[in-house]
Amino acid sequence: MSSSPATPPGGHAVPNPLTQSFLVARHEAKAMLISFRAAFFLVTYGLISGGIGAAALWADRKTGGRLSGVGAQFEALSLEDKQEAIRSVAETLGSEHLANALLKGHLPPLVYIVLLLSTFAIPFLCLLVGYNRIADDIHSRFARYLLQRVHRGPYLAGKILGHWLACFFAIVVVHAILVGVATATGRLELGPLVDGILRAWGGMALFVLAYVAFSAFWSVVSPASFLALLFGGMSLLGLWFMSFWVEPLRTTWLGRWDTRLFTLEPQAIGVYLGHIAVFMGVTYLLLRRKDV
Amino acid sequence: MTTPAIEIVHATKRFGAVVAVDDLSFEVPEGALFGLIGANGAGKTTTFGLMSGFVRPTEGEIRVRGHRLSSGHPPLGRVLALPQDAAMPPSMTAASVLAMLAMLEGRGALEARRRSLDALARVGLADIADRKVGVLSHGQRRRVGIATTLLGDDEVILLDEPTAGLDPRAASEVRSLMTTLNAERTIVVSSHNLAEIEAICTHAAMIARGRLVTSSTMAAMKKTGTLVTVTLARPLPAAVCPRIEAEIGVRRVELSADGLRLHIELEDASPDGIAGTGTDAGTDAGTDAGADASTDAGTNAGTNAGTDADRAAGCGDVEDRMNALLTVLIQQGASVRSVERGQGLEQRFLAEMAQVDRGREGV
Repeated sequence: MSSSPATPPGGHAVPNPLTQSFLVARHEAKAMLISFRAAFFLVTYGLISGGIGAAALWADRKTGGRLSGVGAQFEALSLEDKQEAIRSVAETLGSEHLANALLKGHLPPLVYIVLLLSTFAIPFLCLLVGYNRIADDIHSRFARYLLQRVHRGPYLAGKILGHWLACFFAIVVVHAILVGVATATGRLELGPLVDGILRAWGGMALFVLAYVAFSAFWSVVSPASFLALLFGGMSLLGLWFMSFWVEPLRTTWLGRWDTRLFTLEPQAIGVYLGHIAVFMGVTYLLLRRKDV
Repeated sequence: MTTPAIEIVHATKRFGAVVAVDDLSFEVPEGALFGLIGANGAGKTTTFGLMSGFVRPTEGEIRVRGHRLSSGHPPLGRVLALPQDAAMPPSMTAASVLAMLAMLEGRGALEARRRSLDALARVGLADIADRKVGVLSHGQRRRVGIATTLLGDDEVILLDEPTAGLDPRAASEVRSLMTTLNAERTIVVSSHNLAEIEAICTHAAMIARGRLVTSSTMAAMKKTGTLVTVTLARPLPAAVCPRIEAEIGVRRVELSADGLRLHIELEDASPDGIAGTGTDAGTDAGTDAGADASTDAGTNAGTNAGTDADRAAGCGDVEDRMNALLTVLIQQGASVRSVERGQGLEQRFLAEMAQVDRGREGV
């Protein structure tokens, strides 16, 4: 006698993979958000972003509002001058899309500066918060309780989703607090910021997902939890340095595309989605073959 | 023909150069309470890992109720396993861990909570449901682990050393629970406590160095021959073995490397092959033989050993062969220190392990 794998006789129907992924993600996000490391993420990223934001506002005041007034200055230009300005900024930043967004006010320069200078910390903070989440399950063998109930695909998806939710939530909270403080004290106007911030959050969602998947990869391949942090941290730094010297990495590694991602430039989205697919795919294949 | 609950078909598992399971094949019949027996490092836990889908076979395959386990896909909804030495998150309460696992099995939140409390009550831990796992004792954590296998309605339950670390009362309760659950489910259990396996299991497989030694019903496993261990005061030459084989009906005879211990498996002569319970036979034989240990020729030892048990089962032929055995030994100039006889699982296990060890020495 044979039976369907989904509903064994005498047994119960196994829930669909999506439901299982959400259950794992919920447990994961909850466990992370109440952890010391999540508080460390919030405080560290808050201090870095807040410090850079405060410095940018100070510089803006000192220069008579040249940063915050970029949009107004640009609007005052003639059509030819506008095109010249866009060309010039695009040459400097390496992206016409980004130049357009900055000059036309879609991405306020103050937000751009904060994102540009503070995002270097996010990959490391993502790694720090979640480097051990899968590794600990495997090494403590708790994975044996989980993986007799969940297939490895939904398990991995849930782990990544939960990690992503926790990190993205922390970033959004920091941004909301900074914007709230800046507008409440009259240093910034909320109106022009909203569109840029929402775009930046859209890009940030992909940015965080890429580094969460990167962390998951190291969490699966490392023979011990702390090695996931060590290898992950070393490879982040190594790839970043190498992206300055090695030509293929200069054009393909994530770090070269992040600010362009925050304006939702299609090419940057493509690069990030490609990396996310590769990290997740390789991690799944490794986990699938791994004895737990 | 009923499909076996689990089939292990020529399974081999290598971890680098180490072969943990080597061309292992056996079946767990539907409805059995199946004992997996083996010494430390025999490959029991790896075999459990294979059956649970945690470990991928290097070669061969595993089927659960006829369905082949594929890589990375555990037998969801068919098998629930208690893994050995698997920890639970210390910051979660016992009930919340179980509820989470029940929800992953497809239960709603309320149903999951109800099942988790019910499972904890069945393992005698209703009062610690809301205590964090990290503060529980080893035995309590073990019982929470057993409770995880009671969350579902799965047909097969795998328990890897479920009574390890439990106090005698808790261990007894777990054995009762296994027997109760076996009324409706197939159970595979491993344990170092052979008396426990012998008492509750209907079938068993014995493995050593990753290979199957034997697999059968518990009754057949216990009744296979009468196992005799003769301890000698002076070493005997190996030439004694063919002599014994030629003159007495034996299944096998082995002399230890130092020539001081003879392991003999007599052909079974009783109608049902059972000369008495393993415990009785072994105890009587050991006691009587011990009392006569000083006798140089050891004739009395052989005559007295296990007499009560043999008489009880009407197995007089064994006595004749025991006497013949001792005659051969005397002719060879042997000085018998003691004779132990038995047919219990432990005796069988020790004899099989001794043979495996001698086989390895021979290699």
